[in-house]
Amino acid sequence: MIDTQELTIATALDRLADGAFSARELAESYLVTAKEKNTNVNAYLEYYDDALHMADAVAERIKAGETLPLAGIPLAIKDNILILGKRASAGSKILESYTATYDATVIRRLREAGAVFLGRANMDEFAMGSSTETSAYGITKNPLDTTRVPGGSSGGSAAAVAMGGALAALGSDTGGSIRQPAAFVGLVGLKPTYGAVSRSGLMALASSLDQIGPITKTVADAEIFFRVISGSDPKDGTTAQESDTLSRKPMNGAKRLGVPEHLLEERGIDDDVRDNFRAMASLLQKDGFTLVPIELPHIAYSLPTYYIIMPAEASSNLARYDGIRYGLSIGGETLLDTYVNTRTDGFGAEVRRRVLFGTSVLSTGYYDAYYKKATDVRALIRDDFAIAFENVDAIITPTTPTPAFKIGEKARDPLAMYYSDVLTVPANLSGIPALSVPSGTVMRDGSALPVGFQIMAPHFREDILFTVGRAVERLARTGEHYV
Amino acid sequence: MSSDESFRVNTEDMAHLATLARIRLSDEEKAALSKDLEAILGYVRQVSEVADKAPKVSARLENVFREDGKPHATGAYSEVLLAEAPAVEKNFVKVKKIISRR
Repeated sequence: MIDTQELTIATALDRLADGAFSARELAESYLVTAKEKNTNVNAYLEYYDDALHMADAVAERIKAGETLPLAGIPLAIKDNILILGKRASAGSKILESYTATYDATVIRRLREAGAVFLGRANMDEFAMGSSTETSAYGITKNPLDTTRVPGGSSGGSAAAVAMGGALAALGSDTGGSIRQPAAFVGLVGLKPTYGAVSRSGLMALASSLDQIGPITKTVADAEIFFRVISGSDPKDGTTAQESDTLSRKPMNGAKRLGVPEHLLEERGIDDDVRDNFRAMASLLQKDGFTLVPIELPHIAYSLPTYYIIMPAEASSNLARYDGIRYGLSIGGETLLDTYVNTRTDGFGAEVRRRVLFGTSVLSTGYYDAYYKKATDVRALIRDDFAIAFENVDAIITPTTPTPAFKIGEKARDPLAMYYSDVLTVPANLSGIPALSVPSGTVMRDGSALPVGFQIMAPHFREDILFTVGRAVERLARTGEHYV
Repeated sequence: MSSDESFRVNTEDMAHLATLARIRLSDEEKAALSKDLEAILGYVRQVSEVADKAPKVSARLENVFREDGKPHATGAYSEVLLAEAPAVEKNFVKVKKIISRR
């Protein structure tokens, strides 16, 4: 029997190559574990009926002599990423019946690399949430403590991997939706540079912030996965040309780590999370890194800026769901009635809240006072990072202010929920890449809950994230940084 | 909405926003959401504290266009796309009439 918890992409590739098991056996093991654990966790909304067929097809390609970077690797796919012929609902009732009409670019690339798609993973409705409690298809629970949330919005993806139901997963990150759930379940989560990975086939939440990325067990796995899905794409005009990314000279050992001390003193960051962070930072220092205190003077404005820009873009992006071209349609007397009936019935509470809020900051009299100012302040935040990176190779912070919180704890207070994104949104606003790596645990009510350590690097310097990330991973294994 | 200075959101404002957003709200929802919106607007308006010293964003952005050309064959995707539409007639998405003869 294959131990689905213990394998990583790297070890599974080795053992597949050795013939220790076949791609079909590997996929079957993950499906069995997924189905067993899912009754309690609700990470998967659906298992694809052709998963084993995909595994067999990969085995044929290997036999034919192809070298595939993700040969036979079983993945969970977030419900907002399109796979031709498969349901994709973005966790929303309004798309319950929608079947994707094309492959997302990341899906095409993963197919070419030999990956196997096991099923689609639950998420906050249209990725609006930080706890996977807003899905129309029920909440997802944290497999490490089922009284707690797995984070969100990619909570289903993170939980699927954490429960041993997938070897890795695809998520999307608009304000922390890959890194925060990865942190909450003890996994690695990568938000790539804006423009590194094509968004074609990702249901848009906020187009200037969204990026697709992997949730994996190790930093090495995140690197393998990122190499497969990144690259320019004519279908996404914001993807960077290869020439732009290759011209950046690789760094010989990233050594200078910026620590935004003032950010750590923000209210709302739990003391033991801060202590965990400082302990890991000093281990890195002993390991040969230099810690450099830095200032990001406008970073405190990240969250308010984000919560203007994101709903504004969301309200325009979600205008397409009107009951005319796809999805739910509830007819009325007039065309307008059809729009209103469909959207009223199809959208859940948090989506309505954000669409209405986005509409308000874009409306007459408020556009200048809110939306325009937020786009200006966004530039200030981006400049803060640019200035800091003149002096440091990477910037480190905790990934989240708290470990996984209780189900229902923040569901009724939008501002409290929004605050859980305080450390992750700056990377989305400035477009830089960021990685969350597990860094030990803190205790809550008798549960040891994982804590994430976040690393941010300049645009297109994912290589720095992987270098520092591997050190964090190695040092976390010693367990010296927490008690 | 009432004015730039205040961030009170009354139920008439909510009704107006709901119309713009093509969403119907019950009176209870209007009351609850107007409180949420006031809280969120009150929180995010702190961006004005620093917005004045921000650089002009428009100067930094560039448009990315591609040349028109090499279209796919007409109708190549019509069938698969129309299969998702709730109402179809021939090769068209069917909608309610919005213009009527006098």
